[in-house]
Amino acid sequence: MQKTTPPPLAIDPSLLVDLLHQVPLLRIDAESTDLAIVIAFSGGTSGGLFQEALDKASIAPSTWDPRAYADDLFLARFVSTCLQADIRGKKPVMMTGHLCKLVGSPPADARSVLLRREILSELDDSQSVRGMFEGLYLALTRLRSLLEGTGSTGTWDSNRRQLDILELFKDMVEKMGAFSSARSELRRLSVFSERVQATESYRALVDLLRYDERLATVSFKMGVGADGRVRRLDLQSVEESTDNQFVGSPVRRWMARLELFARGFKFGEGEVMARLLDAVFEGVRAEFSALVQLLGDLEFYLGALGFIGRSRAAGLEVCFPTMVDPSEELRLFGLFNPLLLGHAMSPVPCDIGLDRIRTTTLITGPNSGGKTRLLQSLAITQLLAQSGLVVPARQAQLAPVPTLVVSLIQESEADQTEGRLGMELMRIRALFERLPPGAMVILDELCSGTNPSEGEEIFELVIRMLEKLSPQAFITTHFLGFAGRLAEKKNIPNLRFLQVALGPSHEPTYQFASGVATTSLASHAAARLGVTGEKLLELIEKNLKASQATS
Amino acid sequence: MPSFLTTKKMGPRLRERIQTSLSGRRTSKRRSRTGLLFVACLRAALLVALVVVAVNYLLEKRGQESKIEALRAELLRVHQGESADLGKTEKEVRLRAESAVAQALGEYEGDLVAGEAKDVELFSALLAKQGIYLRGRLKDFKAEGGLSRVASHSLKDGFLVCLLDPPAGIEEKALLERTYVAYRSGPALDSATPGYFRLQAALAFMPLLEDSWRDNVKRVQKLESLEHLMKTLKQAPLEQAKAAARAEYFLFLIDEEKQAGAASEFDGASKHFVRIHLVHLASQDTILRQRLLVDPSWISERSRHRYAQGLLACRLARELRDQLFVEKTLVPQTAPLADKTPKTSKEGAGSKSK
Repeated sequence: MQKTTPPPLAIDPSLLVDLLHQVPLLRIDAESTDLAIVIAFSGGTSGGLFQEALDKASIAPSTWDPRAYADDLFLARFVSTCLQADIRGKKPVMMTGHLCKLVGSPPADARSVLLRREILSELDDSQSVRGMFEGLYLALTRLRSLLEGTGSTGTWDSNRRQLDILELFKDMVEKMGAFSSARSELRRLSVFSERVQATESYRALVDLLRYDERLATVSFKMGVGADGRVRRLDLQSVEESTDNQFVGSPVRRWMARLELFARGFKFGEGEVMARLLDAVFEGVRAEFSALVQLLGDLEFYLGALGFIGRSRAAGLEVCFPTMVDPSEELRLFGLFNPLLLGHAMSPVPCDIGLDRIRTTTLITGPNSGGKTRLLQSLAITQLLAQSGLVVPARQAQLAPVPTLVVSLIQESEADQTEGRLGMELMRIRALFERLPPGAMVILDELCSGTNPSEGEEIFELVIRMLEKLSPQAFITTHFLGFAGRLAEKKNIPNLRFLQVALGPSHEPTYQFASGVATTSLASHAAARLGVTGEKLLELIEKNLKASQATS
Repeated sequence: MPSFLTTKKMGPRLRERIQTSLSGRRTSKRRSRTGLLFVACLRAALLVALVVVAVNYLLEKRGQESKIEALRAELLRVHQGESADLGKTEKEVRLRAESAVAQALGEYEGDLVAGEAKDVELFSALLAKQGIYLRGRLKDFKAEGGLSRVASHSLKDGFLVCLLDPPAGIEEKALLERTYVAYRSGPALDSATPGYFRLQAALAFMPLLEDSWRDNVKRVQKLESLEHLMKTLKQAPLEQAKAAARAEYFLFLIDEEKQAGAASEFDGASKHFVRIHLVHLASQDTILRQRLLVDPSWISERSRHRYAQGLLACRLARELRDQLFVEKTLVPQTAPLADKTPKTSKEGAGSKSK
């Protein structure tokens, strides 16, 4: 199980704006990020600063280990295709690596899950809040572009660039202030804004921007002649912004230039501004690290909103699941496979219901009947639910699990030392090595690599052993007779059976019903794939004719 | 350390951050503390060097100006000292000389003997006073800038020597004795012609004592120019110039063209008329105007090629005296030495040239 511990705090976490965890956490490497920000601000090349900081970011404590399910669930593909933000029709490039880590490692703290659900719910419910949220994200991406130098072309006045960065920072702080009326923990943005705005450093920043924009106000009176041309231009007044702490007398400004020259800097107003920018930035630089982390948080919610929008656009409903005790019923109505949605296919929703959640369920049915897709859906649903996101179902009642273990695919590898049975046995061994009590287990076609009689023995052994760990297990199998016998005997407690529901012509409906399938309909599959006696005979005759012709 | 970048309106923390930024302690790509220190030291060194150069330049300029003013004052003081005892007459010596010569360059006006020239004693006393001597060819006088050019070439000669101290006789031997003196030049010649100066001494150096030269000294700004003026002033024979300027009489001879068909000796002597003018400089009164013919044909072969000019000049002086005072006793022995022009006249008093 992965242990994730935030690094020693260089920044007081209470000063952070963490939208993912109940107790704010500093997840990025504050020291290296701060250094990268300073270098980026001063004009050095620090491309990929945000990406690098978030890729290296730690995550909140979690009992889940992505290695046990990420590959089998195609988690990276799911994140990149389904959790894609959609802001006013535009799809920004997101940091999927960081998002994958967040989604793949549900927080151990249930309060954080609740916090995420409340925030996501508010964003989904309120268009205005969502609009502000997206605006904040866009401002932050602009800030990122400026800092990383990806938005500029050619030479650029360094002072102008730094002023733009500070202007964007100010804009963001002001935008955050608008979340004061949020009902969820989006209020944290407002708290952050208020705290920053109350600092001396921020006031200095505002004054500097005002100093840059308006040192003085000059009023003219313009006289225009009958021909429309300017005839007179009378100076009415010149008013210096004397209340601005950066405004000094012209003599003082000249002396400042001379002083800089004597200290080894360039001589000029630009250098004076550069020093002032440096000093002002120094005051607010600590807040920039918080923004780096915030970008990852924003993408988490924008990705989730993107998934919701995509599902709804496909006519599918999503919901926040009801988390209940494992002894209660499992309800998943309108469950669909989001991976299919990501591949522009039309998933067929199904309803899954069990009398209790903590059971071992054997799923039987014909090939291509949707068993594996169901397993994927169940695992992703559990993962999203415990990450604080919506699940791909119209209605869901689930129980939290300490971890998830998925074994869907067993590909042959060139360097494997064991045969198919050996690999199967190793798979079972690995499962029990990492499986804690109460975990969710997803197994596809257990013991399919050996002869049915011996396989059934191992199968039964596994089921019995699993029972000792009280898991929530879903296992597919083609050992129909064996499954039928287990269903009849009922000698294993908490064992449940689901079968693929077939249509009138024995075609798969991608729906599931209670019970054990009586046939795998291999002949149907063989016919669909062209493996019938007639078809094979045709192929043989064709090959013989071709052989005679060449001889 | 206070800075001009901070203001009283700033809070202490902002001021501190500005100070930190100025010190270069911040991590930054653009500036490193060492780099700033190095640049600041370099600029300080350059500034010091510039200040040193500027101060040096100013001191040097000031010293130069002091030197210039000191030298100018010294020049003006010397000029004042040298020109203090010169009156208007002395300063106008060139004008008066030019005027007298210009009068004589036209058609010869006829002989004239006036004032002191009528009496041998008075004439000798007159010659004993200070005078200016000039001799040149008529065509040279008439040329542009003639007076200056003639004056620059005109030296004391046998005529002046023999006029002041006439030879015992007109025999070649007696004339040669006086001619040798004239040919010696230098102190011997000066002692033989006391009180007489070349006009060149006045023309060349009197400008140094004029007011215009003083004004020029006041205008000059360069030390080198002032030093040159000082050198010029100090090296100039101002005493001679002033003495020449103070002269009472101007004795000048104008050699007319040699007569047609006359031969020229090796030293240029030939048969021609010589106009002799003696003018009182201050009043411009002509005291003496004579036109005599000189002819080297009487000179022996032995002396002719070397002393013809000197012998002719000396004999001309002797004949002038004789013409003036012993005309009746003058009898050419071997050849007519001087031919009187038909326009001979005698007046009881000096006549104005004009």
